[in-house]
Amino acid sequence: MTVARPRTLAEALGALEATPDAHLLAGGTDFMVEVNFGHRRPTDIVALRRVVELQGHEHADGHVTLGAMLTYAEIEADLAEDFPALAAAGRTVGSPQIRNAGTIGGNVGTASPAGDTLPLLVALDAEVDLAGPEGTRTVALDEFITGPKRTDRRPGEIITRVRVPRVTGPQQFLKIGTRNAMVISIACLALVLDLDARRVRCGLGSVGPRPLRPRAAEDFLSGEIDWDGPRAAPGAVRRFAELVAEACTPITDQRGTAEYRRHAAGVLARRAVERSLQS
Amino acid sequence: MSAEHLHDLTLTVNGVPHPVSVPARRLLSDALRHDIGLTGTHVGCEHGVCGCCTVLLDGQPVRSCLMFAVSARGHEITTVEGLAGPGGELNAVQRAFQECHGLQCGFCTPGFLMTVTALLAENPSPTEDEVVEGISGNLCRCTGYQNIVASVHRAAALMTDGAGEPRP
Amino acid sequence: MSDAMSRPGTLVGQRVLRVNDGKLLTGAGTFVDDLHLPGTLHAVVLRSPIAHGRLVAFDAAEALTMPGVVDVLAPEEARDATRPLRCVWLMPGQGQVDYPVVPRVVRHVGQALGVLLATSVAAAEDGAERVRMEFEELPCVVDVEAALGDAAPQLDPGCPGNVAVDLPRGDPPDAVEAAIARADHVVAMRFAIQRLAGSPLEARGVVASWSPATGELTMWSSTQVPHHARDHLAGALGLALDRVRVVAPDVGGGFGPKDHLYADEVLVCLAAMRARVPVKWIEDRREAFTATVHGREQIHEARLAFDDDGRFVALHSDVLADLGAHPSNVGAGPAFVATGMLEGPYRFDSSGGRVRGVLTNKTPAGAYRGFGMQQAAWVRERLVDEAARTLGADPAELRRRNMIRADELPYTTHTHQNYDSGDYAAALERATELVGEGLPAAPDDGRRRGVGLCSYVEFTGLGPSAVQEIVGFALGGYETAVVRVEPDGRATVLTGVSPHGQGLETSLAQLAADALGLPITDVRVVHGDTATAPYSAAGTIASRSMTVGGGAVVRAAGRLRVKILDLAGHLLEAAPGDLEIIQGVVQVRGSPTAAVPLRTVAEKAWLAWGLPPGMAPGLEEKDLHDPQDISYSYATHAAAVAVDLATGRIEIERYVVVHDCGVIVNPMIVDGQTHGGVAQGIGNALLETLVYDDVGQPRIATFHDYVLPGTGEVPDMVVEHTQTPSPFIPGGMKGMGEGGTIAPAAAIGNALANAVPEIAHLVTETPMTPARVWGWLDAAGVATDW
Repeated sequence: MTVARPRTLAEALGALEATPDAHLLAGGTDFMVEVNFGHRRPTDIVALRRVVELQGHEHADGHVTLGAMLTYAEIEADLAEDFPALAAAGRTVGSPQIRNAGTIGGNVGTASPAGDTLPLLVALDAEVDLAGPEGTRTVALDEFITGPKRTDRRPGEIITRVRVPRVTGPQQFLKIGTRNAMVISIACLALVLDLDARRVRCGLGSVGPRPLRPRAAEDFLSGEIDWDGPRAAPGAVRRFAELVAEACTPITDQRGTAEYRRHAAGVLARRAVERSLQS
Repeated sequence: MSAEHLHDLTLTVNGVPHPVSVPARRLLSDALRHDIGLTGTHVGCEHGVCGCCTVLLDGQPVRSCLMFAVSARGHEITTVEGLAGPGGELNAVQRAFQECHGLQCGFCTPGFLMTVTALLAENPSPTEDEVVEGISGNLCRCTGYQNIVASVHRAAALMTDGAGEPRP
Repeated sequence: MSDAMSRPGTLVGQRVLRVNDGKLLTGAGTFVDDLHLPGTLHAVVLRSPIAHGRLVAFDAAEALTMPGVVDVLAPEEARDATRPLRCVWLMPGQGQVDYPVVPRVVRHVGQALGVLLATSVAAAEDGAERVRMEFEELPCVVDVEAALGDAAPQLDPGCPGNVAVDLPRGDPPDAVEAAIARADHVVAMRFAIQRLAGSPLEARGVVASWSPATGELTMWSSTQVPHHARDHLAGALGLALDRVRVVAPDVGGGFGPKDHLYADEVLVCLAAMRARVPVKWIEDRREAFTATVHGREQIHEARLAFDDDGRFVALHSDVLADLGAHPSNVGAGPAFVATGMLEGPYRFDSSGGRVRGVLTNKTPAGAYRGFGMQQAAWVRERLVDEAARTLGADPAELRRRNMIRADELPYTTHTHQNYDSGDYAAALERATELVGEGLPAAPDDGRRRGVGLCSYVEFTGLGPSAVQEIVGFALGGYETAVVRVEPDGRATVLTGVSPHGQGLETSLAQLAADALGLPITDVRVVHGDTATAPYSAAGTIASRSMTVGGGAVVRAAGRLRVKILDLAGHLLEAAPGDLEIIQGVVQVRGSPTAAVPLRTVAEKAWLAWGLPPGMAPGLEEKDLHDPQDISYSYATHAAAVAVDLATGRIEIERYVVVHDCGVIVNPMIVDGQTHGGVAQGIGNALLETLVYDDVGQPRIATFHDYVLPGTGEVPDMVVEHTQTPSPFIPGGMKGMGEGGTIAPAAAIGNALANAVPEIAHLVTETPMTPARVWGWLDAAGVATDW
């Protein structure tokens, strides 16, 4: 096995060109587990943690671009005001040790249905910047993640940045798991009240093969909210929760039944709206 | 199949440079334990949940079982062996764990000590919630955590009294 | 240093800091994986990937070509070189009494079949992937009730119907049925207790070293029971006992599963004998989930009969114990104890049960902290609360009315438990009082709140040997201690019990220090090596180390004290009865100038100069303690919970333990053991479970899915003690290592039922995860949408 530790994006792309089947290593919180379990026997690894172009974040017009190697701890420290729900999601990922290691690019690239940052990112219509042998391209995250742990990343490409539109309005991230910390969610939900666009944005995790956007539910509630409050009638909130639950396509596994997951998503939806309207 | 290619590198652990020659897939935890012989860092699950293998990388707690040794090149690593004073005297965190009976079998203890060292370096007087959250990435099967939480508060008090700074 | 450390003679009862913490706090502990012998090869145990089938082909040729791979011990070779491992606790009529180190037909995923040795762990793992094994798969059965069905595959010819054990317990069935029939009310419920993994954070591990020159095998093992392991290792390999040495170095927790020798450990030793170099095997976590015994899984069909006035009339439980692939070393023991301790602290006109131990294609079930008593408490205490609900009675009052009174002790139960001493109702009273104190006013957050109780009596201090003979548990129930004052005046205590976190290095030293008039710093406890430790058949299991092992230390140290005083009296020309030992100085009571340092006494004794006529040289005494009877600890736990009706999540808002384990040697350690026990009990109650799919594949093999309690799940608890000395233990201690684990599920389940009485009849299964509780809430129509 080889490990390349490039310092620049050009070096990283070069390393990837030299070893096309190499696995990209970010914080290692998912990948290393698979290595340790023998599920993966990579022959080549390109470790991205030191690549300068993938660090940090920038505020730009109407959005923030997050370097792929931005850690959960950095998000919590630096971006809690811009994206409180993203910071909250980072917190629930678990321990300080994992938050220091896990990265936004890793979460996106791994594309786990339970990836905690993904619901908010899809809710905000985040986009993924990729660099590759053919140059750079930008893809909507919602399209980039194609299935459980499957993405549209092409051979030789590296996720460089995640562009997240900034929106004005309350954000919530809520999660149900068996334990409080350090647990893979049974269901999680991010909710944003986009006050400027007067739109409800919602993303769901662990209730489908990939992060879901319950668009019918969003459309419904966007039309029901009195945006000058913002306020919503209890019946509208209940209906929103029902529509969120209907949008779920969960599985039954050792962590929870499909039925419970769907119900839990609805509960989280109602609670998130309640809290957003209060806040 | 040929033997694995070995990487020659230097790991700086507790301020001491250790030249090692390891295959790329060697985990940092294994390099510390087996190549360098610092067996105080324990391995409890190898999937990043239990926290027994926690070490400090440039002062930040990380899971050494989820990291290749080669990735630690150029970083300052601190392990449990680096906590006590030069004469072997326990530092504030270690003393607090003894005084408050924050350990039983001792297997998870090094991981807790490292996590708590970093926690208190960042937040010298954490609240109850901050302590509970701060050590949420370490599992203990013996103590039920009550005395560990007490140990963290005790360590904070010892350090505030100037009774001993946690190293580093 | 605490005051207690400088005041000899008064250490028992003091919060003495642990003497062995220093090495554990500095990374200087020595756990098995920390040992490195020159030339060590690394082993991977080859295991069955299927639940049931016959191994028809085994081919290691390709593996042997891999870099670093040195040897492969094949199943046939291992079978030829080993004898079966004996089940230690045999029930009458048990259909399978031993199990092969390597089977011809595998019965569970993870069953050991062979060993591969290589020069590194990585090379061994790579090599193991190239070992080809082919199986003729057989139908499997994973559900204990299905295993009883006519169509179920039969696992063992000695266990027709897959029933390995079928035993009546307590009063004759007719008598129990008659009593139930004449009662005014019966509550009948079916309880299912899940399968758990003890999960010490250090998994198992072995370093084996064979000396061809001396024919001596040494096994360093993460075990609770060095002598027990030695006896079985010698037996399995056909070696003489004097050629086998087992050492338990620092051990990272046990909790029951490390209570015996495993087949894979035999295989690793066999591989080391063949390789003639040391071999190390460290169980990884995923391996531990199938290779290390599980605990708990039982189904109870249970009935509590009572009269209109709330008097308990009869209690009965029909138990199905899922033994897994074969009876483990303790087999149906946990179910035997569950029925034996089912009555708890209450009077019944009649009580009994039935135990069936049933084979399934899962990892064998063995010892886990609480050993049947957790199940007994869950079943009984849930029934008691449902009886209270039936009668509209207060659960505490109903308990009080039926509790065996202090003045009724000693008291013999229907399963022949001779409860010794205590005041059960006092613990109940105090716990009820404490749980209400300081409970914050419930915020109006939409959650329901409730309080639950669990009272239990705990069997501790296994032996006596005579009792173990009666129940067929083939381990001597005694312990031995050697206490020695060295020529320099310091004391060494050799004990057969083998601590792995319990702090016995400190608490046993407290006992000896008090007897010898020494400060704790002058007493060293040595343990864990069969080459030096006195023989201990049972080791550190079953909450017995402080009672049986501590009793032995009290006795041996007491004898040594007599000899010291005799010799000092001779030297001082004083009557031994007038002497006392203070801080290492023997002096005439009230006349400190007439004194001789213990060190001088020791020098004389070891030189054998100036001894009184007839006195043997040396200052060393050995004594053995085989308790006259069982000691029974007891407690009441109380939990206050909040229940989220939308998510099913239970939050513990307050947890109280009022406990009696006789004389407390070190309250700091006793509280620590209690906290840790309660935390495991909370895991049992709310989080932990092992699940298999239909073909016997484990669904849970990581700590991601086997959810251990973390800081966020264990509340601060209030622990109080009363101290009723054991009449049978020198020193008056009773056992307490398991106690905390027994009660939480029942206390929390009762609190849940109290909070949401609509689902009370459904609260029968653990763990009470959010998803399961929501299912109950939904079924009862009380689940909310937020």
